[in-house]
Amino acid sequence: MKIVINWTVLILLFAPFAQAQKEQKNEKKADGYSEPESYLLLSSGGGYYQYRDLATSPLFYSGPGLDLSLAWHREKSKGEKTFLLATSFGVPNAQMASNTGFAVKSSAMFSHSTLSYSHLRNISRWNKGKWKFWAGGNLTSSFNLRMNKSLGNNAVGIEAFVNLMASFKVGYDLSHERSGTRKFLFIFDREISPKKQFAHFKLNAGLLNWNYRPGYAYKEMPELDGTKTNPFQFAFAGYDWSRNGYRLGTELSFTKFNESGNAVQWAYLWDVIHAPGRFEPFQMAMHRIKFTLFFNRK
Amino acid sequence: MKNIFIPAAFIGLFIFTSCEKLLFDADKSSNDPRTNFEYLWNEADKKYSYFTLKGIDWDEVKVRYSDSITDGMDEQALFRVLGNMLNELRDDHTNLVSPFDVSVYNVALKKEPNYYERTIREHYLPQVMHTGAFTHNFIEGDSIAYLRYSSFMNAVTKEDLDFILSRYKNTEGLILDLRENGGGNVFNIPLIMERFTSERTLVAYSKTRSGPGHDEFSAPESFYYNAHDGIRYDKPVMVLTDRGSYSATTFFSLTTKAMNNVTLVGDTTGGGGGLPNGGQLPNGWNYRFSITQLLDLQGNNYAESGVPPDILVSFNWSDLSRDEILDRAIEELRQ
Repeated sequence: MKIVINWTVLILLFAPFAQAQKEQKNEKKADGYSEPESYLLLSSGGGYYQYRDLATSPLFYSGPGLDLSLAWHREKSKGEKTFLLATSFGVPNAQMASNTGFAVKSSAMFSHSTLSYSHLRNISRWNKGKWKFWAGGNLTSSFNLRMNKSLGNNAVGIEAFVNLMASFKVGYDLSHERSGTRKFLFIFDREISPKKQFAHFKLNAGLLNWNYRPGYAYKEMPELDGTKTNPFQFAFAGYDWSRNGYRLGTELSFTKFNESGNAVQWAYLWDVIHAPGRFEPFQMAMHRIKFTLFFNRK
Repeated sequence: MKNIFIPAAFIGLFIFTSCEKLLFDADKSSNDPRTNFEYLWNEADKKYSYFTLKGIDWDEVKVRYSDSITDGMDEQALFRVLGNMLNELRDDHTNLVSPFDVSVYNVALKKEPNYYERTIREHYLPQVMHTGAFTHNFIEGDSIAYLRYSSFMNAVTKEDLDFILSRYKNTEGLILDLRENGGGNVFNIPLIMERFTSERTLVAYSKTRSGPGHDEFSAPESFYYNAHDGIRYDKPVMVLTDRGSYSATTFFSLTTKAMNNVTLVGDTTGGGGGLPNGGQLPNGWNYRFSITQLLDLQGNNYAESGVPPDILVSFNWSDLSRDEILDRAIEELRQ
C-alpha cells in the first residue's frame, strides 16, 4: 500500500513537468520564442561536512572536504532543467567533548555522491523589473560511503537517500547594459563595461524522502552460501528503505557571462539531511563553496 | 532593489543554516562517567545476543556496577568499571577499547591449553613447508598430511590449497590443526571446507537480535558449503581444536558436525559463535559485543560456550615429547 501511495505522489508531482514539456514544444512551433541555451557545467570546490550515524556512534564527525561535479543545464525563457552528477570526499574527525585525560582520536573516510534532475518553470506573472522567479521540482538520489576502522565489523557504513523536493528560485539581474563609471568603495571611480551577470537564490525542500538504513542490529548475518556468498548482500543484510525524515538545501550563486556565451559561477550551497530509518537516525549537513565553468553548447 | 538582493539572500542563508542546530538532536558527546555508563549498558541491553542463554541478569549487573560510578572518577577508574561490566557477558567478542587499554575476557585462559608448538616441531615435523597461511608436511611416513592453520585472519587462496591438496592427494588422511586459532575472517571458512565436500551441504544456522526483548531474533539464516569445482580432498579429515580455538574456528568446528568425513579431535572450542558489531561511546571509546547466535542443524545453541569434540583428548603437559591429541588423530586415520 505504501508503495502505491509513493508512486501515486511521484506521478502526480511529475505530471505537470511532462505536460509543461509538451506545451513548450507546441509553443515553440507556435510563437518561435528564442532558441534555448544549453550548457555543460564543470565544478570544483570545497566545504565543511558533518554527519552522525546514531546506529554506531553518538558523536558528530566533521571536517573539510573536496567536491567535483558535472552537469548539463538547459535554459529557456519559460524554464530550465539540470542533470547533475556530483561527488564529495573528505576525512572527518569525531567531535568530542574536551578531555583532560588521554585524548581519543577517531577519524573516518567519507564520500557523498549525488545524481539529480531539476526542472523549474518561470513564474512569469511574478517577474518584476530585474527580479525573476521560478518554481518546480527536483529528484535527487544520494549515496554515502563511510569507512571507520575503529568500528570493527561496522567499519564500512553506507546510506542512500532519494528525495523528491519542491524547488523555489529567485534571481536578480545584475547586468550592465551600458559603459560608464561607478564609484568603488565610495571613493574611486571605476570604469564599467556592458556585462551580463545574475545573482540567484534557490531553496529545495524535500516532499517525499526515502532513506536506506540498517536494521535493528547494524551487522545482521544473512544466509552464507559458501564461497558464492554475495558480498553486497552480506555487507548490507538487514538494510531497508524507509520513507521518513527530511532534506533541505539552499544555494546562493553569482553567475557572470562573457561575450562568447560561456560563464563562470561562484556559489555557496547548504544541504541538510535527516534520515531516521527504521530504528536509529542518520544526520548530515554540508556547507560548500563551489566554482563552476559554464560551457555554452550551441 | 538591486541593493537588497545580496543582504536578503545572506539573511535567508543565515536563517536556514542556523536551523541546522535546531534540526538535529543535541550534541551527545560527553566525558561524564554516568552518561557513558548508561549509554554502554543500554546499547548492550538493546543488542547483545546471549543474555538468556547465559542466564545473565543484565538489570542486576547495572545496579551492581552503577554504585561504582562517581562524578569525579578518573578515566582509568571508569574504564575498569565499564570493562568489568562487559566481562559479565563472559564473551571474548566483547571488548571496550580506550586509547590506553583494551578490556578482554580471556576465555582461553579459563581452561588448560592443549597445544605446544615445539612438541610438534621437535618430535613430529622437524621440517615443514610454508605455503601461504599454512605450514604443512607428511607425517608418519607418507601416509598422512599435517596442516597447521594458526589464524583465520590469514588469507586462504585457491593457489595455496591447490598446491597443498595436490601434494597430499595420495595420503590416507589429513590432519588440520586449529588449536589456539583465535578466529578471523569468516569467509576463509568455506574456502577450506568446500575442498572436503562433494555436494552442496547445509551446515549451520545463524540468527540476529532484532528487537529490544532479549529473546527477539530474526528468522534463522542458513549457512551452506558448496562443492569446490576443482581439486578436492575426499579422504578422512581430523580437525584438532582446543579452548583457544575461538570465533571463526568455533564456527568452522560447528559445521564439521554436518560433514561425515570430518572429525573433531581434542578439547571443546573456546566459543564465540556470535558475530560482533562495533560502536562508540559518547567519550569516543569503542566497544563491541555479539549480536547474533550460531545454531547447529538441530537448532542446538551451544556454540557460544564451545563446540565439543567428537573425540575428547587432552594434552599431557608432564611429557612434552608427545602430543596426545595429534597421536589420537593419527591413530584414528590409521584405522
